[in-house]
Amino acid sequence: MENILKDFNNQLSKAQNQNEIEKVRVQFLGKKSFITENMKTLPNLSAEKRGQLGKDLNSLKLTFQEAINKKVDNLEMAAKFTPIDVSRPGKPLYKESRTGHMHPSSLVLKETYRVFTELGFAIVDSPEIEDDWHNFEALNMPEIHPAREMQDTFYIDKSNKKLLPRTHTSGMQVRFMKQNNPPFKIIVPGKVFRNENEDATHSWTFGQIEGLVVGEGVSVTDLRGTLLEIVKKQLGPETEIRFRASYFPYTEPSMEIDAKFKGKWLELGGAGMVHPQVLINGGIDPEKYSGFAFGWGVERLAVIKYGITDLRELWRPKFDYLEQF
Amino acid sequence: MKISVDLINSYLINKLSTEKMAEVIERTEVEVEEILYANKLDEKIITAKVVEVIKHPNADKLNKAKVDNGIALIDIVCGAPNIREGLVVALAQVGSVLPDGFEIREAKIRGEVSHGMLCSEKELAWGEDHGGIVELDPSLPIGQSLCDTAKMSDIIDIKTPSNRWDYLSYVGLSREIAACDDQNSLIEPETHEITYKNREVAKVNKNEGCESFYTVKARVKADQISPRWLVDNLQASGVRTINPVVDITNFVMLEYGQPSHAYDINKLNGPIGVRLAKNNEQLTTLDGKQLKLTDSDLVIVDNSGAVALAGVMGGTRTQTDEETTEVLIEIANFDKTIVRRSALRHGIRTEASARFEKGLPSTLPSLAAKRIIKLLIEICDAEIIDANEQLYSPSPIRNLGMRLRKADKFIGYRLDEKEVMTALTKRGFQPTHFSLTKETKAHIGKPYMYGAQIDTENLEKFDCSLLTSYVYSKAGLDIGRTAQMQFEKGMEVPEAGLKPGDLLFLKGDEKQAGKKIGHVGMYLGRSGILQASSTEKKVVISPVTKFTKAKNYAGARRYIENFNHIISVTVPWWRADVVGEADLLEEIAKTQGYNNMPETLPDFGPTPTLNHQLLPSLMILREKLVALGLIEVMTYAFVSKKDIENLGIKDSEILKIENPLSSEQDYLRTSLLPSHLRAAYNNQKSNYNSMFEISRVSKKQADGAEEKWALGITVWGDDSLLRLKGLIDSIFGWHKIDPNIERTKDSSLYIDQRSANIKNYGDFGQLKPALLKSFGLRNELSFAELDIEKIINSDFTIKAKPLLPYQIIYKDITIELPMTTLYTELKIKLNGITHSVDFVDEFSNDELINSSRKRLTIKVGFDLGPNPKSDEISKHLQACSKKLETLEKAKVL
Repeated sequence: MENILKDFNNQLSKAQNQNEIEKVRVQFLGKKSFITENMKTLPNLSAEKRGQLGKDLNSLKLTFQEAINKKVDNLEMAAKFTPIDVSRPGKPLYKESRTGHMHPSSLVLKETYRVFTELGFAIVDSPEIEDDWHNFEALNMPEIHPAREMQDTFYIDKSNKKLLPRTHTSGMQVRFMKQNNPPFKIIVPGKVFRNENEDATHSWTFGQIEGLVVGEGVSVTDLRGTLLEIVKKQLGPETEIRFRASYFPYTEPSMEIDAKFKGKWLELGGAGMVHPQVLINGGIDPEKYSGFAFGWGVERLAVIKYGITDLRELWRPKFDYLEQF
Repeated sequence: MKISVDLINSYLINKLSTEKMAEVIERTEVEVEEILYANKLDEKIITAKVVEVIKHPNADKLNKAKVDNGIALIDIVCGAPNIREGLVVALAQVGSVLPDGFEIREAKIRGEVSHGMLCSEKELAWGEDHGGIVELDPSLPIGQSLCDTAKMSDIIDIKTPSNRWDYLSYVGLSREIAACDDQNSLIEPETHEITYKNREVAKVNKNEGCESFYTVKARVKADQISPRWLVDNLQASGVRTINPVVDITNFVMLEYGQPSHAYDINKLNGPIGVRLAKNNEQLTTLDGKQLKLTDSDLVIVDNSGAVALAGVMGGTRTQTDEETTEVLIEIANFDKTIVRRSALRHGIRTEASARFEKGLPSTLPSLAAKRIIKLLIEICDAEIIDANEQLYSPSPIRNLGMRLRKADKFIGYRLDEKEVMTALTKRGFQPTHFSLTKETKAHIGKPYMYGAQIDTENLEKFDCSLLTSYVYSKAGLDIGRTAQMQFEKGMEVPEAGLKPGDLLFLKGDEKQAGKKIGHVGMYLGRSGILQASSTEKKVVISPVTKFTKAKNYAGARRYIENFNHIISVTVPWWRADVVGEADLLEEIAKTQGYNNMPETLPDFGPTPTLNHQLLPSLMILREKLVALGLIEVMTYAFVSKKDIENLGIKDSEILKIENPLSSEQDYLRTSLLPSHLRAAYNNQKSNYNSMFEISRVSKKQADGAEEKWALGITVWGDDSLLRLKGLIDSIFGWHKIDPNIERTKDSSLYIDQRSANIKNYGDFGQLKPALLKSFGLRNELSFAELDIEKIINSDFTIKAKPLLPYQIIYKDITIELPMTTLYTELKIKLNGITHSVDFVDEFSNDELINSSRKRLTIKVGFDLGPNPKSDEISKHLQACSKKLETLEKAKVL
């Protein structure tokens, strides 16, 4: 049977057109073919042999049929789709001129990068798939900590390294601290994931900007000053900010930040002084250094700046909508 | 959590308006989510008394009642099953309007006139109950507007932080509100202390999951109902009324944050106890769930088995009901982790488990018990038979220190010492100035105990290093628990330079492996050295020479330059979350008020960005792509199994979400393609027919996940492939990369001869019609996915050549070739014998197509110096033709 298959493959590969393929078909599947002939002998065999041979013949038959069909398809495709030279220079995208459009979240990020760069921050990339330690444990959220409920989590692999699509970009805090010596100012922008149902104002995936500043003598007033500066640069010089006491396991003290934009107080994000244990986890001596961290949603800023009413529009692209930006 | 403004005010000395209260709450970590103002009931809804009930002559389920409205007896038709003579009820008189806007008129019901309506809880908007009419407090005067007698409270819906158990209690919240409102004390709830009677109702052994266990046994009257104030307060907080005993336990949970559980004693078999469950032990909880327990669950048991899942929910077997006359109330402290794990494991989250999970102080049960006893007597006329506390272990008193000058640096300006101390005092902390003398004197003479712990010995016994570590903790420093750690941590001091507070060390017994330092004492100046001495078996002051002249003297260490401006703070029992200096700094920062602080900026320069160019570069790339006319999209990172299968990707290469929101989104995408096909389908009618996205894609790896940044570009409509190729040319051009393009072979996605691999950087091509069809697409569509991080990171240097002082000679060559031959193949052939090669045109007609051939015109450039001769040019041209004709079936025309 192996020889038959070899022969079949050889002959089929040589077949160049419909007629030649048909010849191959007749030879291997026709009335006088090996398969048909052998099929005829089946009733005379013992039950045991009959079963085995029948199975083998059938599977061979299927293999032949599939290969022939594929070859026919390929020929048809080749006839329909003549080769195109993929190495030649391309052609214009549109015959008439057309303006492209950046995604609103990118517009916000572009502004964000500019503003933070002006203040001497580096813009740092970090993995979207985190391990449990960086995302939670290193930030004072051991497995059983109730604060984990603030961030409903998708899990990829609970056994292994406990991988998860990060629930916040704060996972980068400890990683960066371990690899860099203070002082530093960074932001970590990126996509995050929360296991929450979606509606107009909540999305299970969204962009986040995390900031981390660590140095000697970095203080609460530095946190306040920096955030005010950022918010003014991003939302306009008239913008005010307000802090409300809050709780996050990885900062202490923790606070929520509101911004007053066009006369209305809006919730912007969270902030706080880096918890000494988090500094220790990052290999930094909390007796010598202190720092602050903050974070907010990219889309949240897009909502504030552009008056977006349904976050889902940002993730389900409709050009009619995106053309506005 | 919903809280009643009136109930909070009942604990406050100066009552606050709803708005003011919300404003004060905003100053704490508690977030105000919403203020729900109470609906004021129509004045024409009044209290009335049912005087007589007779069956409705024409309807089985209806009654005709004579009701006293304070002036006269009126007829009311009522269908409530609980109507009976003597009941005080809510009467909506003719002309009154219910909270939902329904106006009551005189009505004829099955032939009988009704002059108003008796209201259910739901009709008054007091709650959800619509099973019968409201039964009011029988002592209420008749004929009064209900809005005057039963005032509903405004509600504030709040969100509390997960580190503060006390915010899940009215008293705890009121304490913080009072502190923020500059009120110095609270009106504490009334309690009743009962003498211990020691009847055996519970036998609890020391168990890691249970820190204290209080039981109250009481005889109560059956068939009682809870008074209105209790029901109102429960309802305001979203708790259902059940029976007076359960209502009391629930109310005290709301008040103090301490959950408790009531058992019907007659249903219990013997005394109750606490233990870990056996695997597969069964318990049916009050909500009717049949639990299969494991040996990680803590349970309350009687002689017949489990009666409650500790800290989560009681069981049905021993629950109280309207016939209960003797109750046993369990008020205990359970381990937060055990309770949380049990609640998560069995999927039962209750008000009780939510509180235990936060870690309740072990002092709380006895406090709550006294309140429960008071209310049992007051409401149920109860006879208390027994009140018994077992495993009594008071929460350890925590003493911390805070360095004021460190706090200055941390907060950003110089703090006023007095102001700081006042603010701490207001919040229940007891701050004092740290004094080394006072702190050390206090412990002289206390017994020595090796391995003593603060939590268990409560500062009554010490070993050498606990004493020193404790004294330093009061100064705000963590110097480590063991003498060895303390020796390693400090700064070395010579014997001549010793200052009070320095620690002196002795080497330990050589035989004790790995333990170099064996003993520590604290230098106090001329008076000597303070040490917890194992030989003298107590804390003593010894001469300095006992250390310095000892054979095994190891040296001295210093941790702080001076002990000035250090505040020692005793933490109130309810603040289990305050465990270190950082927590005290938080309290200080909070009381300073974040919004009153000055604004400063960190005083160091920019952070080097050399290694952090990727994200800004991607942003620049986005702008360039947009400039080419593309629309940028963002799509979900999770796709469906079908999407993955359509792309022919193996299951083993994909990361799967274990707990997806839906089966449409349970895989992490390995390619942007499926999302783009869906987006293309949704935008078929647009004038634009191209888009791009820059996002991460991921793949499963043996040791985890591999991620990369992908640039996906989709173009559809006529000539999609070459239009897409134009974009690819630009991208590689911008990054000065000459891509190595090869045709793809046997791709499951792309049409043969219409797709390419770009070595190291990705691929592109026109998609197979069958694949497009599975996404509902009929038009041709081409897609490219590039490893954009690699493209951006590819290094290039530009080395400028000067402009030549003469002309390059350009000549066109037209060549006929098989359709499958690539333009690059020509370029490769001509490499080295030309100055440049450019594409001019491609031509074909039916005749050429039928023979699978095409014509290409290229422009070649020759660098032949100034004034080349014509035969020299043609010689070069011929060389090119010759070289080109070595291509298969090629013919230069």
